[in-house]
Amino acid sequence: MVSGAADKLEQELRRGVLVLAVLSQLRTLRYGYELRQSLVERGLSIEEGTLYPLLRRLEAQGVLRSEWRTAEGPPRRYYELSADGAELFEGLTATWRGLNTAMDLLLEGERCDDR
Amino acid sequence: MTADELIDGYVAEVVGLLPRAQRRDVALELRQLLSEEVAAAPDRAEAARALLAGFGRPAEVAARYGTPVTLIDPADTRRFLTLAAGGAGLILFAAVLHELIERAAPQRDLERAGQQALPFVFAWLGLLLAGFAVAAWARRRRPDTGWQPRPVPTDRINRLGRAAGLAFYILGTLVLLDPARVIVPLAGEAAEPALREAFAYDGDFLRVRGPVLLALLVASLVVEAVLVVKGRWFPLLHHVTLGLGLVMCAVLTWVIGAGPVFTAALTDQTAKEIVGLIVLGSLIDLAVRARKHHVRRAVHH
Repeated sequence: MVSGAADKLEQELRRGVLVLAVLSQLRTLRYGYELRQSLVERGLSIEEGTLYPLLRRLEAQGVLRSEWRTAEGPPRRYYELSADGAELFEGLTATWRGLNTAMDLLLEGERCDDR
Repeated sequence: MTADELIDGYVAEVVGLLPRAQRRDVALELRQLLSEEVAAAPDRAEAARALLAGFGRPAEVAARYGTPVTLIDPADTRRFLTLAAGGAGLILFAAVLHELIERAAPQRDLERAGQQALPFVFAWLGLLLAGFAVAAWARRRRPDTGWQPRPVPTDRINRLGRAAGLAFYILGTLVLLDPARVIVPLAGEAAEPALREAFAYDGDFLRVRGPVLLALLVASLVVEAVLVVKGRWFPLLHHVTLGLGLVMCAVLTWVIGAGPVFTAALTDQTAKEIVGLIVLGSLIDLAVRARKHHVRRAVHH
């Protein structure tokens, strides 16, 4: 029961940072598989079934723009931040840093209380 | 199956659930991405099988490509289920009451009555679903401005209103003792024989069911009088009222089903139909009151 809840909570935590992580890697053009590899290499594993539809949703929301490219092998859809997406990325990054600081303080406080 | 066949089958299931305009593009991209995931594997078919198993149900993946349509908001699900189950139960019970009123004991078939009520149950569920879906759609289009304050439920009662209600119930009970006596002065002496005949109680009813019903009515009046005197609900009174209400519904159902109440068929039929409606209304009222009571208890303790 507790381990099931723990898995769910960890998934929710990861889901919260997913969009920002994806945006951070799309400041340059990347296609889905390449993007996933890039995230995995930096320690953030993400399920394909979550990532690939997310790219389409972000594109539909105007956060990303995409194009098909065939020059470097089979046809692949490449994504990168749109102008609005770049602005959003800046905003989300600032929010993330604020949250990070607050969480550090909270977690640090927790450790001090324990002592 | 080869890896390509597995991937094609999976992609077909996903894009089949997407809007037409999206299908071709998503199919091309998803197929390419999945193929690339397994390209380097020594056994591509096995790798594809494992990959697709982890990818999730095609319907879930398709839902992630867009904004899934929510018919009933998760926040409304509990209320929906309560109303669905409560309404369905009430319709089935109404069908049983109808059968008890319409047919005498040997011809009664409660199972058939229940089956005949099923279309009404499904109609209720359909209406409820449509209502909740429209409400959810309207809320998404125009989100709530916020919570609107409402008075907190309290134990206090409207004493004057309850006292007036009690007087009305006492009068009603007296009328029930001899309906013809009340109606004759209004209709004229000439109509007395016909009215006496129309409102004559059945002998069997007067022997057992009548006295039991009268005792329950008097008990209800006493409880109501206690409530008026106290001016507020308290737990014991609440439980007694609820219990008495349930017993009253059960007894009224028995009164309807155990034989004629009036000797005149038309009066008997009409009276039983009215009583049937009162039972259904009382059951709804009891459920609402029980819920309010629990909310009051939760807030004030």
